[in-house]
Amino acid sequence: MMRIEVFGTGCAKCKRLEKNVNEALAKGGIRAEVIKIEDIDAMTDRGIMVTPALAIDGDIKIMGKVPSVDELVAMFKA
Amino acid sequence: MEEKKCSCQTGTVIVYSCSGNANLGQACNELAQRLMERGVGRMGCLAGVGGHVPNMVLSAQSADEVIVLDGCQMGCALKIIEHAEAKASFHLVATDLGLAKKNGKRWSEDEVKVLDEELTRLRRSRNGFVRIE
Repeated sequence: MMRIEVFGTGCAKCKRLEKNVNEALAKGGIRAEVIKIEDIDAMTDRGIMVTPALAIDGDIKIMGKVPSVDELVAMFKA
Repeated sequence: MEEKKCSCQTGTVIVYSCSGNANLGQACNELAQRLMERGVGRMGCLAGVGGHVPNMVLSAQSADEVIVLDGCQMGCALKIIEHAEAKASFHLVATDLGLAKKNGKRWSEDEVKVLDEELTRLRRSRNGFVRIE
């Protein structure tokens, strides 16, 4: 199963990314494990200094942006 | 529900500093740490960017404001940032401010103060925040 990590400390933009991720999974009929990471030290350990960020199967795909639901669907299906 | 504040609300400011063997590289490094402690921005890992660590390179490219501090005119910190295809919003060179480079010596409070004041002046002159498009 695809593993999606959402990095953000809990502000509005970070929550919007998490919401869009869940909507994209539902819209695309995609099964994935979604993990929310809010700890700054955990992000820094991964070299992430700009939030929100998103990783798919361990690879950071997005940093500092909130993609639309459709963009996320395309990304998850790629 | 509580809404927390984070970098993505105010724009991410990352400070990258030379930390060379001379006094001025170390003065830049000291200033970068102080800026982080004062909440101006986060100190980035220049070695990580130079080492092409993917997420660190992406962080440098994704920041809203990148402050680069160099000890001398060789400009190694800026070269690393540019090599990573990131952009510096502000670039300070300590020797351009009349400070003397002394190899193998420690930084002084006066040197850090000169750098700090110049950076403050520069950022204020551009409203303190630069969004890179």
